[in-house]
Amino acid sequence: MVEQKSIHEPGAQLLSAQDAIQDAERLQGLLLRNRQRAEREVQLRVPFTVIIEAVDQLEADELRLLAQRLEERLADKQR
Amino acid sequence: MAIREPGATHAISDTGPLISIFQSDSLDLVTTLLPVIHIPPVCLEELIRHGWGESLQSAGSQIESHSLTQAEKEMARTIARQIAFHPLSRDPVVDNHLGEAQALALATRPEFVNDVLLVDELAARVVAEQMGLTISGFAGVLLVAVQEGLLTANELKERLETCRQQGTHYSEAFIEQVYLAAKGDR
Repeated sequence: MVEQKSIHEPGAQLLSAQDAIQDAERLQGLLLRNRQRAEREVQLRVPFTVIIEAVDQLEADELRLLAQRLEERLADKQR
Repeated sequence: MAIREPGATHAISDTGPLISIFQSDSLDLVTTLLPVIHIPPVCLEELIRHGWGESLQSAGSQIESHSLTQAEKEMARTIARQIAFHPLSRDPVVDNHLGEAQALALATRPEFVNDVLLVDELAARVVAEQMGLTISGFAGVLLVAVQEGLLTANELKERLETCRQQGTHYSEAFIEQVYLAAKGDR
């Protein structure tokens, strides 16, 4: 048997289109924040040999950046 | 109780938006964005009274009904009074606002702090915002579905028209403006 449907609060004043547009902006923001919250960071243990091997794949600019970073780190260690 | 997937946003719903969801056959669409819709006891009774019992049964775990604690019931009665006597309310009978008031009370639970309350009625929306709840109407959810590529602007319009044809009082102007916003013409 098909259920008879009736109207809920037919006299109630409903939201405007502008409200609906603001709802969508608010909801989109909430969905994004909740998705980002789920993307937590995890730590990985990478063997040192893998890092050395990775250096072989770097381009000149990247190697210069790495060299600069290594010099800074070395200077820190020698202090 | 439903297990929450990481990053998932759930909804707590008043009776009106859920009727619109059923009228437009949008439950699968809405639960793609908001996997579980939580409802309080009075909304469950109202949905059954309005003839949506079978739809509720076929929804399975997509809709979860909750009983309220005594403190939440009392909070809901206070909220129902606020809604009934709000200048935007057209119905001063407190008991007639218990459904939306219970939905608001349910939405204040700590486990729903990052979720959204679905409510279309203006006075209840104002009270919910005063309580700091994040709210959206059914049309807002459809707009997000369009933004996320789950629905076209034309399909959004058809769904709102379907609700209107079945008695939900979305005006023609309302539907047209929401449709234009969905198309990016606002």
